Amino acid sequence: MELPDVFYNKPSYVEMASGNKVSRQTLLCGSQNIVLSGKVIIQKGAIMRGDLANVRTGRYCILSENSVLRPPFKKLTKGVAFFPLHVGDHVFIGENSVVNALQVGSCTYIGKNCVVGRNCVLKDCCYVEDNTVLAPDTVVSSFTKYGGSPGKCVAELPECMQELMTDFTVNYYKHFVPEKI
Amino acid sequence: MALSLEKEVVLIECGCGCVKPIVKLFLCRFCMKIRCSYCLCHEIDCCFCAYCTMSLPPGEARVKKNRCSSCMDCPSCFQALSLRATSAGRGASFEDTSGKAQGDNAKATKYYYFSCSFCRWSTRDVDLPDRTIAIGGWPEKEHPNTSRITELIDYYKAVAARDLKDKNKKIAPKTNYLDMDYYSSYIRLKLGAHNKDNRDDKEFHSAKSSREQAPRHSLGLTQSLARQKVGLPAFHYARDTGSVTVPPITPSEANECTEELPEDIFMNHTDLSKIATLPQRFAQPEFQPELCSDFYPIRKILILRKSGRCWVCEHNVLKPEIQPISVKHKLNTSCFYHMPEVRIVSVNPFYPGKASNVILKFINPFGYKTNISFDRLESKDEEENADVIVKKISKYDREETKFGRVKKVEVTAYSNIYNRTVVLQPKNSAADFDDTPDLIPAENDSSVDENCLWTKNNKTAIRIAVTPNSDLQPGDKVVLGFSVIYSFLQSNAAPDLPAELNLSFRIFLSLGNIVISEES
Repeated sequence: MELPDVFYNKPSYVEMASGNKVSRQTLLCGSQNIVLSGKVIIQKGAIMRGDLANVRTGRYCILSENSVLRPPFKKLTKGVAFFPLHVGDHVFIGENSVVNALQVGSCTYIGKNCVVGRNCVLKDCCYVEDNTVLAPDTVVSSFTKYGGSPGKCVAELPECMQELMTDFTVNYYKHFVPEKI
Repeated sequence: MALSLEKEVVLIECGCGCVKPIVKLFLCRFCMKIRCSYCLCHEIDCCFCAYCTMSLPPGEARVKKNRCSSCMDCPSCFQALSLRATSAGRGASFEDTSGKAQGDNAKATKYYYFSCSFCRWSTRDVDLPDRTIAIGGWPEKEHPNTSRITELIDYYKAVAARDLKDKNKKIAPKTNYLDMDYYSSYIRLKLGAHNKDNRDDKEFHSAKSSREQAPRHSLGLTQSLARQKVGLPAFHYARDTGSVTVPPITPSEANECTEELPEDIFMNHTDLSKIATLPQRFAQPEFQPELCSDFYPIRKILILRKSGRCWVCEHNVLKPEIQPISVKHKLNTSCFYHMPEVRIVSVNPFYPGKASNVILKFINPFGYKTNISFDRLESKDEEENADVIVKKISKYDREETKFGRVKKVEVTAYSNIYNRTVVLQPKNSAADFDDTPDLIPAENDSSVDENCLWTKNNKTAIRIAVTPNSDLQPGDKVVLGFSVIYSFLQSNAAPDLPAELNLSFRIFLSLGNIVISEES
């Protein structure tokens, strides 16, 4: 099924030369520690906690409304240390999802209302279903679909997942168009 | 907005009769047929732990019961256990790797234990001693009946070996040389039993006499070679390997008295938080703990990387890279890369017997121009092929029978798409990332189909009129089916095969439901 157009209010978005589209209603804490590689869409209400540690996203990443991207921390003997969060290319993060992972691989789909626990590692080409709660330290391997609370592997993904996600995020970016006045 | 993976609205029929989305189908480039997961022989390439990415060959993994030696799962919630480090001097009991107990003099040493981050279960909850090494070295729980189970397995292996030997003895007597008389009679029996037309005696004797003219065992004509000469498969005669000794076992004894239930079982208050649930018991089938205090960390199950082989021609259609973390494939003949993709762009409301407009998008996955044409669904000409596959599957005791897995799709609409041709431009990967506008064909351009809405790179959208059957009721599904014929260019075709082929597949589109008529 072809993706429908998603309309946004042009004055409420900042469009950068690299193609990033960032809503003015997002909360980018520590913006000097946030790197958006290009063609990234950050919708309204999204939060990126760059003040805790570096956050780097690849190309064609989509952060839906009210999603939270937050670097993970580890308890050490002398307090707490935050670790940088790397998000790969062609990643979709659904509405109201909280991502506290250590790494989100390329071509990954995270559904809406998900909680990705502390220090989780999402490998390339994986899928997290809607309303999933991934326990801390979970490793989601490639070509697997996780779902439920706590998240478990519920299915396998097709071998062409990389192309599917590339196609999905590129199409989403093309269909994310300003409202016609 | 969900990924198109979730919605199975465009289904393609496999050679065996299954209908599946394009991403779950493969094209065998030797048979030139569509294959689904049932039509593939799955082979294990390697086993690896998803947590630590330790890779093992299948043989070694089998020895380790397909479980990782260093990573553990929680026995309570089945999530991965995290390793926690702690300093010495806590209340838990310690032991080092040599098993020697340590106490006060180990202040500088770190001790490790497993803890679940989700349910907070830890190895300390069940009084398991901490370890002094971080990775590995966690002892396996010994089953109380291990020796008995090993004894029984050895016994039944010996019995199976003895039975096999006895069976071979019945077929052929043990000889140190090739007994031609016996052998001839044996061949006669076999030929009479196997050949439907029962080869006549004259022909058989002439064949026999010609064989007898040849030097026999004196020139080293072995039994296997003799069988090969008369066209029989290799046969393993029983060799004199000595008698198989069956180890004695102590037979199990039935006990008539069963242990009685405690008297206060119905009087005591049951604390369900201390009793294991059925999934928790089944997760450790060899122990099946009844109480939470009997839990023990479960070794993590290894994940498989599989390759696929066509059942019919036995060529590979899917071969992943060796590295378990790699998402690339050495060979991947998914239909997603080898046939034009059809997508539904938009549909209008459907009424019984009335035509509605539907916009379809066609995507060319090839690097060359492709012509696609459409035809009506005709009777299947691949029944024979399907039977071959089903026979092979049933041979290997697959549960899914032909009738169990094939779901017949009922077509409830027809359209004006038949006998039309669409030309798809070649795919250009770089062009997908530019922002050029869609190319809308000119109205007076006669070379372009009038229903072609737009073309961009390798994508073309066309408008078709779909008419649901007039006997449909509101709420019924509108399913359109047609055949797609497309040109396929073989890059490494054999000299005797044509480089360009016309391939076809049957496609079913679930367009939506009938809505309540405006008139009513």
